[in-house]
Amino acid sequence: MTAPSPVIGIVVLLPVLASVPATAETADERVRALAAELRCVVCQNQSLLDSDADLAKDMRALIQERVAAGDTDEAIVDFLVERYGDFILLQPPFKPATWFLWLGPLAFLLLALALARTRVRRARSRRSDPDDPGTS
Amino acid sequence: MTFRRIYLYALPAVAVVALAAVFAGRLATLDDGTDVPPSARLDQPMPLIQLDSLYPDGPALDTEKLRGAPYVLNVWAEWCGPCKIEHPQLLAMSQQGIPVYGVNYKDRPELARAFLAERGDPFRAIGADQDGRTGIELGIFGVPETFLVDREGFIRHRHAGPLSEDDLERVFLPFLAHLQEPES
Repeated sequence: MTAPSPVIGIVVLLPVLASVPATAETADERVRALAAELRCVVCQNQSLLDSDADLAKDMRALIQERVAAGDTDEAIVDFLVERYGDFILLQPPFKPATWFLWLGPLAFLLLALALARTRVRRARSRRSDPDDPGTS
Repeated sequence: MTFRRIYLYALPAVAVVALAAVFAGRLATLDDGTDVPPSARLDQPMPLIQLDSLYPDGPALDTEKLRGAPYVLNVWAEWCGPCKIEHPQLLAMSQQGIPVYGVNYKDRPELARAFLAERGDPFRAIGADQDGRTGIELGIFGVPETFLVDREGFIRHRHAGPLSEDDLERVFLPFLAHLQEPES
């Protein structure tokens, strides 16, 4: 009998290893992760995690309570969005009103590439023009 | 050929001007000049608020019982400077018979009561929001904030910051008169 290949061992163990961080995430880590992606509405460019504002402290306490009560991250975020709107999300959601925001840069990049392509092509065709003595 | 090139070079300039126009437009329409976005609670039902009175023997605040007639709900605190500035406007509304209710936000009750004893108490009922949860429930950004609620219990207007005499005359009283019109 040959010893089991270590590669097989790693492959078998991978899903287990991958699931460890998720289950081992403490309540405190969840609160911090949630607070980091939510806006402090008093200081506006700080997250709830970074802010010392009174309202931010209250919101962190609220998140802590709801995590302790077993609410999902989604339920907690939805709770605050219902009261403060998308404004409370530091990362704007992807929805029709924000399509331009998310896709605009990509659209401009594609536009620029298309423009650059036509320019290069035109320059090339000019260079290969039989009337032009400079090219073969 | 030259025309096309000019057209292409003008494109970024046109885009910049268009963006500037959009930003200017959004800036100009920010409500009441504060840097606070419109309330997520606007045109939503007033959340259920049940708070003990600021006074030991005063009436509790219960928004469930306020259905049926439009009212004003003011969130304030004794420690808040702008709340002192807007206080005469709340008194004026209450003297005109407008139902004004209050949420005393994260305050020391004895200081809040002294404030009202000295300056006048415009509130038909005033709830003590000791832990600030009612403030979050209403989605407040700070104090003071004032809400106009219609007879079905929907929030129809939110004013962030102190109510000036001008706000009262130009916005609040006409809006309230509109809400008080008999149902058609």
